Amino acid sequence: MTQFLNFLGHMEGNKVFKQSKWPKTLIFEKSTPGRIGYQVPELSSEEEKVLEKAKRTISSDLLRENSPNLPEVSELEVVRHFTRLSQMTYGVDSGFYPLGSCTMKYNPKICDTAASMIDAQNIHPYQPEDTIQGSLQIMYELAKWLAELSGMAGVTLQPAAGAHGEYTGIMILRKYHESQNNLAIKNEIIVPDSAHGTNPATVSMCGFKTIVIPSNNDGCVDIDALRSSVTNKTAGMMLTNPNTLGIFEPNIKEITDIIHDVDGLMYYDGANFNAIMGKVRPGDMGFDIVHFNIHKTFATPHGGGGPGAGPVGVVSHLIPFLPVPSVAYNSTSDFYYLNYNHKQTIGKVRSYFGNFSILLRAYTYILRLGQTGLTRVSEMANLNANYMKAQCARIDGFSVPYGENSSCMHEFVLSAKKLYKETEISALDISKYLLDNGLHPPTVYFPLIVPEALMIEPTETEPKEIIDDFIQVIRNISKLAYSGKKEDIQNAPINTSVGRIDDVKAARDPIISYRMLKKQKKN
Amino acid sequence: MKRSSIQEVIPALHSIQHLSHPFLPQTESQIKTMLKTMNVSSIEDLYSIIPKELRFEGKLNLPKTHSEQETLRKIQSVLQKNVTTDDLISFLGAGIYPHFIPSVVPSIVNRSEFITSYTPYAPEVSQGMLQGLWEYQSMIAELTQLDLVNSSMYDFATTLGEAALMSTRATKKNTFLVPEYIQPERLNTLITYTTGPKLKIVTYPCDKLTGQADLEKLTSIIELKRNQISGVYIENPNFWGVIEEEIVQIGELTHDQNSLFIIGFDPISLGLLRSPGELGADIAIGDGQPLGLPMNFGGPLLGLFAVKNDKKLVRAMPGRIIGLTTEINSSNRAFTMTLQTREQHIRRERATSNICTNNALCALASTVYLSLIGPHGLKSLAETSLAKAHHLAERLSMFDEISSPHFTGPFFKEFVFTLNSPSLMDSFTKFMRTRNIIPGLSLIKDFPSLGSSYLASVTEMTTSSDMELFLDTVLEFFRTHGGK
Ligand SMILES: Cc1ncc(COP(=O)(O)O)c(C=O)c1O
Repeated sequence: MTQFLNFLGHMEGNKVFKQSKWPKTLIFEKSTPGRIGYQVPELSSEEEKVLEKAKRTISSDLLRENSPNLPEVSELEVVRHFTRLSQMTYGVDSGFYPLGSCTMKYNPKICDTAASMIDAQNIHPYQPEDTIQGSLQIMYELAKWLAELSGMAGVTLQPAAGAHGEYTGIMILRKYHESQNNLAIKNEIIVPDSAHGTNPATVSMCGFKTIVIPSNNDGCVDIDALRSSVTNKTAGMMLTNPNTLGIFEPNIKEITDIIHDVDGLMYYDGANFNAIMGKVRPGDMGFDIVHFNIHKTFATPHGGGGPGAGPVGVVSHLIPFLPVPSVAYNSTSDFYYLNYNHKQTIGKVRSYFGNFSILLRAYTYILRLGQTGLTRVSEMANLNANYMKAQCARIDGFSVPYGENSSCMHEFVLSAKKLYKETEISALDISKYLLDNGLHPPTVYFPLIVPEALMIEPTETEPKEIIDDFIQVIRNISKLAYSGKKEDIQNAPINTSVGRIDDVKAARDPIISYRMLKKQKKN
Repeated sequence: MKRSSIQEVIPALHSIQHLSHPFLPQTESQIKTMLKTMNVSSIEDLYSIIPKELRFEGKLNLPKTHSEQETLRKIQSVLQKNVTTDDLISFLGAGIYPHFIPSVVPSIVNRSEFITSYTPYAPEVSQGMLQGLWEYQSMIAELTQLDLVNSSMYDFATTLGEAALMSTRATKKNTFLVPEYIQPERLNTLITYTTGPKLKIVTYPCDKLTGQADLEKLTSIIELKRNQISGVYIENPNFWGVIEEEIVQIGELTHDQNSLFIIGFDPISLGLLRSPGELGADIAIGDGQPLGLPMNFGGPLLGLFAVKNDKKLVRAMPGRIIGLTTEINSSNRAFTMTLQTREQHIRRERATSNICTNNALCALASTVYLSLIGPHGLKSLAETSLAKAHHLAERLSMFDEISSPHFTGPFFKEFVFTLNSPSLMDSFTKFMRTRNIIPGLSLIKDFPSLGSSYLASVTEMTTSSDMELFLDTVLEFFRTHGGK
């Protein structure tokens, strides 16, 4: 019955979902001179006197002439403006968000509660160690748990995001080769063509050359191509496993052996860690360096683009290279401390010690699920993905070009190539029509090796009913496209705050600040 | 819930272990149905592709599952070992500052649509977040008086690294000049970031008296390295809290070399001080933490990155950028991510940076903060910090045993003070600690030439009574420790 009702809902002019369409008035345009939304406490008369004197110490050409052109709005106006903006924003709490590679699972509220505790927030990083024992303990324990989950010997919690973890990891790799006096020769890093863009971008930032190798017909590393690309110049290889197609590389041991044979290091991009917790560990697969995407696997919210955290784990012989400081524990005195004593450290990759409030959320999440819960998380993530894959692959116009007949892990890549060829309905059109149905689209056109790619990651937290709804919409799209009733799809989205957007105009005449808008209006 | 599952709920009530975890909705019978649809006999079979010898068969050494109550109790008990700045009289700053956060900021930022959304890859359902980030870019542009702002980076230190890399991309030169007196962690991060692309870092000193850039030395370094300099970096106010009075000349020297001039700033100071744009900056960077973000033991922070409006510079910029445009079929406003051909997902190994996840929610928090405080509020906040800092510096100067401020240059909300007797530093710090006072950041390790010095920071959070208590304690210390 539920199915039938939803089905009708989607078919009947998309009556199910309507997003708010507030006027896009800028907060600057709501400004009324004389209003204020927060008042700074007044100075004492003594301080007023000091102020006049203090200002005279600064020469007038170093003082600002005009106050910055910020809006002048009352407290309610601010609240209402941003509340309306939130109503024009779609999050996991709004609905299904199967954005492949991003692991948009439910972000438990308990983690927000933990992160908003005063004992966590009002701590300055330069406080004496005896006043930060709680924060240090949390970091110490979290690092240990992440090491256990990944099979690594040491973990740094400093990196601010996945890509920053990659950066830290590849700098560690660099320092390792430098310590072996090999850096002059070892200047290449191998990256599969299915890799995320951050991998090759990181390679360049760290001063290496990217060697791209093609995937084989199964979507996995082409072992022959790998062998022919590996030379004594190979410093290492970056790999996601399961890879960005959601496929586990069955020959992973052979791959890691090939790289290790030339004294290269294996880097594990942990974006897809949600698939394997408690089942298989990067350390046991032969990886030397691992990053985690805390904001994916460990359920910390993504906040419209960040902040996240990207801890990095390494095997024991790479521990001396980790960024400083690490968090250490003296069991005799029961005291946590910051250890700067890493002889061959890569140095600093950022200020301070890590994105603490994000790490605290991950700590909370791990406690809440525990050892058995985390394993179950991965199992259910894979079950949901495989179920969706089996259903979607049967829909006319769609296929799963890689791994159609074997199990995927936590995500899979659906191709709308046939549908596009036969009906001109593209992956982009599909994504827009999904929006009209109140569903966030999958990642589209990635990985680059799949034409008309829809990369789907349902995560473990979605009920079967929601997953079935999504599959039903894909079926509807196929039916509409093949029966020639394509307008609804091609005109989508209409139920969202705006319709399709002029990206070409945005790039041709960039207006990226109110200052530019004002100048443009003048001309 | 589906109606058909009602019968299945009843047996589940008898055996608790069959109830799913609150985060894991699939019931046992749904799992069976799903497996059957797929022609797979068990979940375990989904892992059959993984070679047996690689499988992890042991038991992970992790905590057991905790209930929500147990989890919160445990976290509270651990965090209680912290002493917060609420229970200290702290003059710590040096990059992270305690400022008051109006209640509106967390209330808005914690709205679940914002917090649980991803990078706005589907712009039609993300207009709110996109507009918020565009307004963020706009406000930072107004503060800095530079038109181009990206939609956030990780923190000040990594932003400095990115600015240095951008300067080589834009100028094709490879020597970067920085003050030797910037926050050491910031300098060390810069050194790491410039290692791969082989950018040479050359430091220049400050004048020992004024605490400002030593213009003579800097000029001769620029002479020596002419035609190689990609950029010159300076902070205003600098690490000592001192305002750089020759900053405009330094900018001119830099531009004479066709190099980029990069200014690091404290956003609060821009309520009072001339903006980086007016001072001649090509790039302005900083940390947005003072704009409504908790200190959070050092993260997450907010890397601010603003650039002069110049076609060549836009293309060299790192980070995500939100643009204002229209719908395709109308003139209605719409926001979207733009100029993406610079970024890793398109340009891959030739991208301007590898950054992907940034600090968008922190950017939103600062937007809410700046909307609340407005131009006049920001000015009075800057003035409050200035007045209170000067007040403290002056009061400290009344002690014969203290030189305050250490430098003669004008200062904003931070200043260095020095104990005239170096042997007293340890006992001074310890004595203050017993009274829950942190007199500032000790500079002895990183800047030993300054002697027994502290960098003290004062904001609107420093009350007069805190200040008096600190001064009384200083007096008591010198009485009991026989200051000369
Ligand atoms: C496969 C893969 N690698 C790396 C990253 C980069 O991680 P982050 O966005 O946290 O920097 C992502 C996520 O965007 C990813 O999906």
